[in-house]
Amino acid sequence: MKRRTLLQWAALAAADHAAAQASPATRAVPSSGERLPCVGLGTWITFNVGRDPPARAHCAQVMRAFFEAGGRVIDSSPMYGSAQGVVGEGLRSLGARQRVFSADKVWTGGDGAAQLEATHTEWQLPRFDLLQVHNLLAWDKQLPLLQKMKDEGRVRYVGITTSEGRRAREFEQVMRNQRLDFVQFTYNLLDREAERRLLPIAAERGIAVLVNRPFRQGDLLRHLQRRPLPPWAGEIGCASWAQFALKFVIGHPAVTCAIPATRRIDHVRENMGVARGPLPDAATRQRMAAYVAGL
Amino acid sequence: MTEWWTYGLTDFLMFSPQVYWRLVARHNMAWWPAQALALAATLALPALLRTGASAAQRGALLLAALAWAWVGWAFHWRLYSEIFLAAPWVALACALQALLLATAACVPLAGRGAPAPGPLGGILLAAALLYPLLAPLASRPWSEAEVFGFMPEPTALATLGVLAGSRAWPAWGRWLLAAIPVASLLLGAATRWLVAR
Repeated sequence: MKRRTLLQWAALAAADHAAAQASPATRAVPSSGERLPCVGLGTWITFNVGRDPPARAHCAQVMRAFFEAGGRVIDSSPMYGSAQGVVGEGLRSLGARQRVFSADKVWTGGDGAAQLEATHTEWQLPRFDLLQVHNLLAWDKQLPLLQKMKDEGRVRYVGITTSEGRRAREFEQVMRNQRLDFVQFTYNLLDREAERRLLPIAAERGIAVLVNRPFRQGDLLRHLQRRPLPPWAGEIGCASWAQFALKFVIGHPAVTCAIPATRRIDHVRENMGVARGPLPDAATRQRMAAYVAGL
Repeated sequence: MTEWWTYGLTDFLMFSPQVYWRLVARHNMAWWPAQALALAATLALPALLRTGASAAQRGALLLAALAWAWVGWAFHWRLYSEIFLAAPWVALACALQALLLATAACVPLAGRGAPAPGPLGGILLAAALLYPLLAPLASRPWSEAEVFGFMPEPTALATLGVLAGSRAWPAWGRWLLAAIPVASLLLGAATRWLVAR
């Protein structure tokens, strides 16, 4: 009995070790079948560090930890100050230009092509994987530009973004009426409006989904950290509220990748670790949401 | 910007508190020990105003103009623009303020005496002089102290003090010259509140 128990524990430990070393879970981009890790890296605020060399070097180390943990998707925007340049410098110093799945945005009512040219210079990349119209700004002008770039092979995917549920009705219309590979919007344990329409539409139309603000920019975790985790959190491999919140998001089958933003190496490792363990099914996700709603 | 009512102040904060205060420290370190000159200027302002002479008050206005020009270029244009997209516009406002103050300093004041400055000017100037103490009071290092002529808020406070004390100039003109400093203080207060959250 004792030996069988020892063998069982050894098997469990081996499985845990294998899981820890295994690649993160991936989801397919519906328009191409390409698989992407389901946790990426956002850069709003966290990578806007200016020209400060130590801060930029630290961001490169965050990116190193991200890539070492199997991450690929990095998302930025001209709206994010110096973040684009910081990412570009990090990619160059790490030799990671081939490894990254680069996602950026066009954010102007004016000359989108000129802004994208500047964005290319910041990232030091010849071609982006994904370009998105940021917050639907002048989408009727910029989306055709991106689609033309895609037709010419100058970008692989095109998409649109919003955050915090803004312009939801218009966003939905664009999803239904335009050729899109990706959409990006807010979805988390408290902001669940996307479950009613945007996520089902994305699934129906074969559009990949990037999720921003999975932690509500940290507010969600600050709110939750005063409360204990549910006793069944361990069943879904959650030892912290950050893991709980992120698993809820990436557990939705229509979500391709969540892009939490952080400048902490331990957080980026923890976030990527979420993509390795078990993902909650629909019933468990309901239970997770109900638990948090009841707090 | 559609659905503008859905945006709060926090949506416009695009940098972390650590990055902001690191920027202030970098700014101070880049020009150290010139802050000593700035402190000397802060002490000179009430001395100039207390003389009651219009020539001395002109000198105070010119000193304030110089401070705005420096803050606009050295801080907003050169440094803050690294992390704050609106900083170049704020730098232009500083340049405008410098121009307005310099112009006011050169305007002839036919037949006007120079009444003694009241207490408000003294209070505002004292606030500008003591402003650097906010850093140690908030448990931040001295490298993050904000000094007149280097950072916007003490410069705005000192300017309002100069305007309050420059009674040789008509009140309407001084109110006009106070618009940009007041706006700067509001922007600074909003920024400080957001980074402290």
